[in-house]
Amino acid sequence: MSVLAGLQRELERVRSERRARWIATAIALGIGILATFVDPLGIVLGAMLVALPAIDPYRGLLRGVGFGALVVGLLALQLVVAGALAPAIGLGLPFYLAIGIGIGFGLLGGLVRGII
Amino acid sequence: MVSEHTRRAILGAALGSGIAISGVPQIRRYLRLFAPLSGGAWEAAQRDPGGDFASPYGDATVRKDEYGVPHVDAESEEALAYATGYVHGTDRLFQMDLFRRQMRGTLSAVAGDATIESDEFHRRMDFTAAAEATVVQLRGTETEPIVEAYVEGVNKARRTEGLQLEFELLEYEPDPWTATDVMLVEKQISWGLTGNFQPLQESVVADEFGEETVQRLYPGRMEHDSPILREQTLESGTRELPDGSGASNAAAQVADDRKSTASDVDRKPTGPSGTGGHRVGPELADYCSQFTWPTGVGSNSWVVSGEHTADSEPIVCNDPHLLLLAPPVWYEQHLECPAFETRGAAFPGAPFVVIGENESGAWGFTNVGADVCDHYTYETDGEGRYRYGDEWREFETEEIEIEVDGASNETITRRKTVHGPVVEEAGQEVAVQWTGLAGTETFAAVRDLAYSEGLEDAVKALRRFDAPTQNFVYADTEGNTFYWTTGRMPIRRTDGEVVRGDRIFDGSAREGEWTGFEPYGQPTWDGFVPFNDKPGVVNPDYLATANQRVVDDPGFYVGNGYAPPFRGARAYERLDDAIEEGPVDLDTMRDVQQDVLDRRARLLVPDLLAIRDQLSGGAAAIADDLGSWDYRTTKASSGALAFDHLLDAFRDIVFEEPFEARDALDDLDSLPIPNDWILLTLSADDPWFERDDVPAREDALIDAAERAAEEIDDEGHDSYGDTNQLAIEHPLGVGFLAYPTHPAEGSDVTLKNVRVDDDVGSSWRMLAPPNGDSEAILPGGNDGDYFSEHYHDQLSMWLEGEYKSMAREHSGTEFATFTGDGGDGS
Repeated sequence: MSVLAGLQRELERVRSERRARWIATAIALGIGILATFVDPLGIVLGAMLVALPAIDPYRGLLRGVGFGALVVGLLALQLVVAGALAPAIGLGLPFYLAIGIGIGFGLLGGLVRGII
Repeated sequence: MVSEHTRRAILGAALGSGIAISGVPQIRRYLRLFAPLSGGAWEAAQRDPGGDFASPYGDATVRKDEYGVPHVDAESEEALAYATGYVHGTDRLFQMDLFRRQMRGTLSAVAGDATIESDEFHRRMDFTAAAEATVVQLRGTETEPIVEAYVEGVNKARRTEGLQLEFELLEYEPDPWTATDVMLVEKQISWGLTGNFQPLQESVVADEFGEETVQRLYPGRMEHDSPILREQTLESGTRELPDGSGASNAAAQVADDRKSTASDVDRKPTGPSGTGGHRVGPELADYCSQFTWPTGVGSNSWVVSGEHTADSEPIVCNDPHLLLLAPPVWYEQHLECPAFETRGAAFPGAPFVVIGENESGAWGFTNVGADVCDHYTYETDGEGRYRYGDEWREFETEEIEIEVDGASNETITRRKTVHGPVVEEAGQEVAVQWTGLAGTETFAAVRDLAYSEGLEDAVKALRRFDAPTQNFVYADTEGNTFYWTTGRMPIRRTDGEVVRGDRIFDGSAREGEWTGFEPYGQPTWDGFVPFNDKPGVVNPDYLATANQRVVDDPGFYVGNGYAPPFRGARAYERLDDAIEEGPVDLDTMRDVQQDVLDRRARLLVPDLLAIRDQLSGGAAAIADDLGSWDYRTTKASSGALAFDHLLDAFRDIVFEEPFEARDALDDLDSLPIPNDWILLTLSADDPWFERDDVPAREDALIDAAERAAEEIDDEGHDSYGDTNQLAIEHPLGVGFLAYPTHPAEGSDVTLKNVRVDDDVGSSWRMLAPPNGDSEAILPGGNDGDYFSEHYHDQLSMWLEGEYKSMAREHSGTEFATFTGDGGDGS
């Protein structure tokens, strides 16, 4: 039995068991969010990890986009706490770029569920 | 139907491509900047400056008020300087670093090849060596440890407070701040105010239009009757300077100076104004002019004695007109230590209040317009030598490598002569001798002002103020008023005779020689106009400065860089009227500082109305608008809109188009056209209007009215505010860092000064009664951090003519504390 086959089987088990699915999702969220603080591609990684336990590829895609939206939401929260949301929005294009990067990279990462 | 295998392949390719594309350097850069949570821009947005810190210099507390103005209270001057450095480093570090890079010639290392020309110029001028000479000049003085403590404070903030957005955008970290950088701040301002290449530009005009034309269009003296020191002003005060503890030293200094400069009579320059006959090409003149501030940058100040005020106390008012930038050139601060308490405007990068007040007096500065910058050409032998008198000398040369971000580095050869650095372009070159290219004591003088306990101390401080040449106005709590000019004014000699400086000198023939000055060295006051002989008056009843001619006959050549008298005359007109009507107060001063009457209109509008019957259509409507206009450049005024377009068109027709028609001038970025005083006072029978390429004055005016009408119609504007839009930009030119655009009232020549084309205007407005409640306002905000609530919180108030209190109270919330019992400053 190859390692890959073992992993695939474990993934199937996680996807089929509700409790395991949510535990895996929670762990994925934690790792993913940490990764987004380190590098922009952390959003893709996080979206991939969150998408993998999804029941089907469409839900995986939604989870990826959701992760991206969560990251954008966390940024907004950070800015609110810092009292900098209004000037950040005032930046215009850079702020919209941040939203685009979050959602776009989330979508990109979510594609992984259609592959694995 | 797509097979599962194909679907996986497509999705895999999409995912892989997306990740690969994000690795493209330019895209990767945007991701590093703006990706949520990891982007550098958002890190900058979350800076939370302030806190409790150790200080190697002693205890200090910084509070910040509702406008972000720091109120620093410290147990010693060193502790005060350290804390001041900390707030500058927190609020303005990018601005400080940018100006430092400009003056050092290292902009291209972070900005790329767009700034290579600027770096080349500044490296050739070697302002850094002049700043280093200034550090040497101040070594061993009481100023030296203050500068050191300040530098440490800046660097503490640099290490502690995180980087402003601009550093993230350019992706670099600033180098440590140094004492040399502090002195570069002075060099930058001094160069902006007194560095010039006017003789080069005039030589180009002389080549094209003749020497005689230059003398008429760029006269050594503009004829008007509103010098700073009017006869009645001089008569109201005295030339006798107050005695003081430093009087003996000062007296000795003056005596020494007199030995070398003989008498006033001996300092009368020979020869008329003009170019002196030496020439450079238009390329060099054009190249050099881009590294000086816009022509006509000026300022207003006035002082009114208690004899004319409602509370019998004097009032000082000052609004320096400098570049309007985001953030502003000035930084407001209130500093207190056991030795002194002062509040006012400082230049970020140096610890001292430059314009402001202390417990004993209030003071302000405006630019004199003195000529302290000379230019020399040489006979060269093509082998790296130039002739200087009877000998051939080697150029002092040095290979300089300019680092360029994203492109190959560039290497230039810096050359210097006995007079100073050589600047060159298109095979043309001149050496530059400028009073700022040497050790100076200006910051020591400014520090002394903070310590001053009245007029005597202020005068003593002023004796050390050697660059730039400034009009200093002052009043103290004892009721004294004072005006004096500061700075080294060189006395040039050719063959032993004193000469004017408004020309290019033949350096090989040893024309225009200075004494007591070695470039990048430690100058003496020998060979410069002694302090006591400079124009000034003690205890005038009232006096106004607006960069106009200082005095009708100073006894020596001061310069020909005076501003047209529009503002100076208007300030005196308003003050004369107000004082005649009765005692004045702060409301009066506020009103004068906000005056928007454009005196140019008085010279042009009546002429247009006199030919009203020759106008038709839109041009006639323009004349009708102007006929009912009160000459005030308010936002709602249609007359001001018409005048603005009429004057622009008239200037184009009379000067710009004839200049542009010359092949040699056509490609220049900056045409050296005469100022508006010349434009509007040039009589209809002047030979200029007889040229083939210039219409008669009356025809020019008719043509201008027609063009103005067309332009207004094309633009669809209804009032002056529609066209006079002030958009204060950030030096990086990044749109989102700029201040919001607003309609503005005022013009180039009104007391409420704003020049929307050049982004120049009142960079700090201050009303300061030494015994009363002072007020001030900045054109923007005190904090240079884009995300700060104080980035441009004063801009609307500034536009609307409002002020805020300058009370010397430690108000606001605690920003930072520094304790000096255990820290090492790291």
